[in-house]
Amino acid sequence: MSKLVHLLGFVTLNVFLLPFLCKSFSPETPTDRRVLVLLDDLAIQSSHSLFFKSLQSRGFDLDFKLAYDPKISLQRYGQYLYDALILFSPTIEGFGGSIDQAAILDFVDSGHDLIIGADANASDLIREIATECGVDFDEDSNALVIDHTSYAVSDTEGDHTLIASDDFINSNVILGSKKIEASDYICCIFKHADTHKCIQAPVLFQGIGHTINPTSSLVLKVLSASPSAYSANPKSKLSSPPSLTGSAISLVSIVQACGHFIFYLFIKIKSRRLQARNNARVLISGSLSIFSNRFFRSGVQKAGSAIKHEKSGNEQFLTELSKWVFHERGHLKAVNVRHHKVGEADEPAVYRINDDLEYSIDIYEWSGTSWEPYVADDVQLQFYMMSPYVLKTLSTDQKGHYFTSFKVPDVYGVFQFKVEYNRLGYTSLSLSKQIPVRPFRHNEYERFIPAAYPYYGAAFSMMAGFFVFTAIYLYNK
Amino acid sequence: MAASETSNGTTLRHAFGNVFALFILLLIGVLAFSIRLFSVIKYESVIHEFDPYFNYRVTQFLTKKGIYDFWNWFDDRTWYPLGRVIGGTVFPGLTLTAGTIWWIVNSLNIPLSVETVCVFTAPIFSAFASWATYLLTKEVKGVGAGLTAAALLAMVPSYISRSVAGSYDNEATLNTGSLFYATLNAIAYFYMVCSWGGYTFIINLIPMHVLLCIVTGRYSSRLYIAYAPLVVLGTLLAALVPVVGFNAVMTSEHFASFLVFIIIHVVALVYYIKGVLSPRMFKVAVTLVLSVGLVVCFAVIAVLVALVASSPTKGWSGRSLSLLDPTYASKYIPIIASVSEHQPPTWPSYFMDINVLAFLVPAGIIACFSPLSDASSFVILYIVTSVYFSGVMVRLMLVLAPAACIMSGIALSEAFEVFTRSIKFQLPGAPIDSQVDAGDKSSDNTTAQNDVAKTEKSEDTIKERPSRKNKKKEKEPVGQPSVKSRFEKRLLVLPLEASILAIFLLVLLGAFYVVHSVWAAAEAYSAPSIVLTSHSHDGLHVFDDFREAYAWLSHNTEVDDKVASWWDYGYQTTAMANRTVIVDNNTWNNTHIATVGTAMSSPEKAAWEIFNSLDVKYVLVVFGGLVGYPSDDINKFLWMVRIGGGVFPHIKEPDYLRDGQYRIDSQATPTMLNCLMYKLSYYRFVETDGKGFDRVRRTEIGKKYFKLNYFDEVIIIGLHDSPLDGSDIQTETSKEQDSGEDKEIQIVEGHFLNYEPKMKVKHKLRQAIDLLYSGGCSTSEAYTRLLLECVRANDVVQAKRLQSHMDLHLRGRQIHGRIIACDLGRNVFIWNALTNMYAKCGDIDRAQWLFDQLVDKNLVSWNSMISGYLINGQPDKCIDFFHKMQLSGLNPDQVTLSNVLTAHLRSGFIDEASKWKLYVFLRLAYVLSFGFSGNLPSDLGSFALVPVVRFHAVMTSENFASLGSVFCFNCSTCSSSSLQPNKGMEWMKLEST
Repeated sequence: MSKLVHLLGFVTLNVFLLPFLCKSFSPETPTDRRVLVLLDDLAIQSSHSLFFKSLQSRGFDLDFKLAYDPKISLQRYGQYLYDALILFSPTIEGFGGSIDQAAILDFVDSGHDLIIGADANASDLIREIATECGVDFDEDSNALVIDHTSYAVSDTEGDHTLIASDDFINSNVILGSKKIEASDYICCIFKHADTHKCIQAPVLFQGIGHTINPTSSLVLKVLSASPSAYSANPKSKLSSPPSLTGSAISLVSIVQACGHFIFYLFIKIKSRRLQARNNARVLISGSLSIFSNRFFRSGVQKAGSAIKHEKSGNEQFLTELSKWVFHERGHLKAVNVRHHKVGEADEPAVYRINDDLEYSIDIYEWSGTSWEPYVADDVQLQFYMMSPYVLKTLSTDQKGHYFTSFKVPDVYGVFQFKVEYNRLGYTSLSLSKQIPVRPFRHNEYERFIPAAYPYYGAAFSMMAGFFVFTAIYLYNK
Repeated sequence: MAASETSNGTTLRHAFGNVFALFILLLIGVLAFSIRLFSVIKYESVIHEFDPYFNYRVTQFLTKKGIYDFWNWFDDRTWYPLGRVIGGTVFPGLTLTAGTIWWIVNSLNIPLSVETVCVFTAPIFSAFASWATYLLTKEVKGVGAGLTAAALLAMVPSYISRSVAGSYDNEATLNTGSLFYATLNAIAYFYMVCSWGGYTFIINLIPMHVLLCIVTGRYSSRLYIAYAPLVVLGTLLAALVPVVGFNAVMTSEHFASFLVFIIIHVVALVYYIKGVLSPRMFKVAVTLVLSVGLVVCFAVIAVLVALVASSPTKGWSGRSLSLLDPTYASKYIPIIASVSEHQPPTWPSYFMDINVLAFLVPAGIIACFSPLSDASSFVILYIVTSVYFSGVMVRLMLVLAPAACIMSGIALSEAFEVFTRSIKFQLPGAPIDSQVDAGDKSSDNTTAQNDVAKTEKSEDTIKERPSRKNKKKEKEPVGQPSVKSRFEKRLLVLPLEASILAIFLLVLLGAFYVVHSVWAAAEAYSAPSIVLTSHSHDGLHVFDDFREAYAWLSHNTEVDDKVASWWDYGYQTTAMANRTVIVDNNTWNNTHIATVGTAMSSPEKAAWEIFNSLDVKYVLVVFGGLVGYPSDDINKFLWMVRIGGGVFPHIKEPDYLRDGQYRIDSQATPTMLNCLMYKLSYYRFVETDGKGFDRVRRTEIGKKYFKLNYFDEVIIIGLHDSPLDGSDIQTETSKEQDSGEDKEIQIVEGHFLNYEPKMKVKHKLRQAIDLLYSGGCSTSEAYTRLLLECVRANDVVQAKRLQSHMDLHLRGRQIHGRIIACDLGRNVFIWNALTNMYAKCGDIDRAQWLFDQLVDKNLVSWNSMISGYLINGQPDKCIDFFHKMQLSGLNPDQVTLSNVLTAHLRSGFIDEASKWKLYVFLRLAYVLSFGFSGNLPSDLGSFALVPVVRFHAVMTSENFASLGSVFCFNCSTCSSSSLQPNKGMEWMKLEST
């Protein structure tokens, strides 16, 4: 009996607690909250404290752990304990606890975010994780990115591995606008205006370069090296041409997954069901020191440039980038998909060919704290059956509501309303809703067609004639 | 005096003969009906074949939605994403017939399910068919032949093979028409058009017969009257059937009838002119008309040829072309050739299907020639054409069967007549002789009389009978000479011994036929393709894997999921699993079928892309290599390649053949070994026996270890470690790997499926369950398996024991699927368990659905719903159910009350405080009143306390005090000693802290 009481109690407890347990990462509030930071050395916590502080000030709960700590684990009882992972442990050869390469990839697969800070002498483990994410670090473990034209001017001449790069990706969504105080979406409104570089000062970078897998459309170079850069061991003399050269070298890359992460890196795929679930974002940097306080604070002067910036662009660059990675920007959701016949309010189960219908959808963007209307003029709707029969750009009321109306084509079958919205830096929206289109019913055709009147006349006159003939033939002998 | 006596005697004898014939016919009907029930008796009353499931589904729709919705039905479940306009593409005759029967039966308050009606329509119609055969044969050779033919048809194996109970297919109605074709009845023709595409056979056969009549100089105005209205009315009516529509006048299959229509008019005109003009004038006219007519004829023929030649398929649909040219289909249309029914039959199949009839048919033909009448010439034409057509397609064996029966019936009855007459003549005694003579004479007369009587009875049908007049004509001259030639006949009689022996042999032949037919009905043709059986040393085993697979799909996939499979399984998947399919057994869109064929024969990635573009979630593959089920997808695979290659040229058949041979062993081509069909079929196959030995192909497979990159194996239905060499089947449903989905692999293994005697099974089960509890290897699969075993063995106690554990597993849905597959129907116990299971697993909608389905709900049913809603956080619903339950006249027990109290508490948080306070008081009173009346078991007190106490715990202090005191007071005054107020107070404290 008491067992039962406990059981009932437990059930009640669960009912009350469940909302709180579910409060963390969810499609409703996509921003990450709990972040696990794995470090080689706890000293990084203080040497990179500016970066961490900026995260903490935005409300993230950072959990610093040594990467080889035997107690760390990503999940307990099948539930993930963290919403995001920061790997600042470039030299680690094997994680402690239950974490390994597969666990991290599963973590990302299930829609969680990841920041990888590699560095010179990055371990094979880190390299493999990066490879799985679609970027390949230079295979020479001693290689660094060297640039003899756009290095950062410093007191000592050095070996030009400290690069001042300003070759950013051209996207306000990922890097934010300069007017960062204003809300994000204003930036978005103007994004089709002549886009200006939001970050003015070059970013200091010292580390290894990587290339992105050409077959993957999901990996983007955020910070590229200049055309004169190459990747080689600065200590040794170049005997053969370097394998990585020019702006093919990526310094910092991001990956946005939609769908099955590893699998779909190579095949672009849209799946409605998993879109909601998996929007993992990954940031891969070839340099750990790019996050460091030293680089954040130091001034920068690019070689050959007269302008000396008081402060490098690192802080702004990485803060903005981390906002993107942790879903504070560029995260869209589409709700309230509605369609109905013109003049009716209810959604029908089936349309007829040549019906006029209206379709509407609401799209919102997550601002870090709330869902704000997303405004764009390039959202398109397809009325799709193996190929789009209707393709229309949706009108918008500037408040996140998109709508259009069109005539169902003169083809019956099982159609889909499809909205495929893939824009740089934004979550890719992929909605489809199935709707059958039926032909006319037998009594929906026109009954009397003017063109057929001669035939009607022929038939009836024939009948009448036959009747008259019969009458005459039978009774006129 | 004597004459009147004789006539009196003959009428009496005739009345008796008629009644006797009627009685025999009735018995033949019963025989025809019951011989087709073997499959129902041996298995169960289900539809067994692939194709009829479509008719069943359509009939279901018809009975549910009515004829107008049926007519306008656009089915979005098939041919995804094209959909199918059912109303416009189906031959509606059969569906409407079954629908009408169902409607009549139901309006007579006989509740039969649609399925039952569908299953029994075919046997009923086979009875009609044999009666129709009787009528037709009677036209040709009299009552005796008619009865014999009907009896033969009632049992003919070839006809059984199609109209066997459950083979609810269009062809079943073919023979209802046979009398009507003979009498050229347009309505029957219309019904025929409604029912079967084979109507073109008739519309060509009749003109041929008419032409034959004209050529042989048998033209009469009767022939004209019979034929002309048929063409006009028949064509008009046929055009009313949406699927035929304008085809009735547009395609060249119907041209023959129009051509003969013109010819018969010309002939009629010629006869008319002949009557009007003098012979000389007539001659002039003939030459004139002939010269002009030839020119016109050539012009018309030229136009016709041009028209036919200009249409792409030469105006003939592919199926009909393959009839004329047997090699046509395999040359040009693989999709037609791929159906085994469209293949030419083998010689043994003739003997299998028509047995001794094959020997009797020639005799029947000879009998028909002496003397040749219109009716018999029709029958001859019928048998000749049907023999030809049956030689082209196995399926048309069905057309041959009635013709063969008619012929054999004629042959047999003629032979019997000859022998019995010779015996009669040779029996000693003159009086008998004279009597026989009289009888003989009168029987000739009465046949004619009979005809007249019949004519009066069924005027409308007889009127159009072309043969009547001729027959009369023929009978009269035959009757008179017969008197004259009696002495000749007497000389022609056979020796007595020879006749007796011959009769004996004929009877023996008939007996063989009966034995063969019954065997065929019971064994060869009753084996359903949806339920498989196998014989082994310890008896018959039934495997139900197809239905299990469909049940799995039905219960474990989303409603909108699309299932891709080869088209053979399309109808069944829509009808039984209720899932959208890409292609089904209807062949109207070759490209679409070719797309699926291409996907199956492509490498995995290409296949995945094709399937993805079709939104396919699941791929169903039937594989019989493990157990030796030969008609699996690997054996059908070459057709997929051919059909796919017909549309998509990058699929080439030689790529799949090694030196022209189809093989799957290590000699197979890489294309074959890498195609999707191979991979899906043989995925993890090697794990079964370590070698990967395919029992159907009798070879080891070529590629044993490989991974599926784009597809996930979801379920394999079928017994892997079956100890039997049974013909069991392995059905794999492969789920497309859809981003991030966890791999689900469930293999249901049959450890306990030894099909031993029940007691032994029960014992074994008990041991297994004990082992499960003690051993702790309690996987959900094990539970599933065991529970199902319990259910199969009807071991309710053990099942109950398991059930309490089972509901913790979400895999319960799978169990449900199998329970439905086992057809355990509406067992209240199982139903409650399932409801409970769904409720506890959080799937309250399904629980509700189950609950609604249950007819005789008991307390447990209600309780499981009430607690289910409580668990699922819908206390309002819970209370609602409580009220409903009271309305239905059931008394709540402690479980109910406890749940309801909790529900009130929960909903109390939403409602106003005062409201729920009142509720709780009321409920408290309820509980206590039960306590007083002694209805409550001893532990109820504490049981009821739980929600009450919790309620107090969440209350503010004043409420707590007041309610608590009232309650304690009540408890203490309660006479039932089992209520323990002290204990209640303890809990109260416990919970409030």
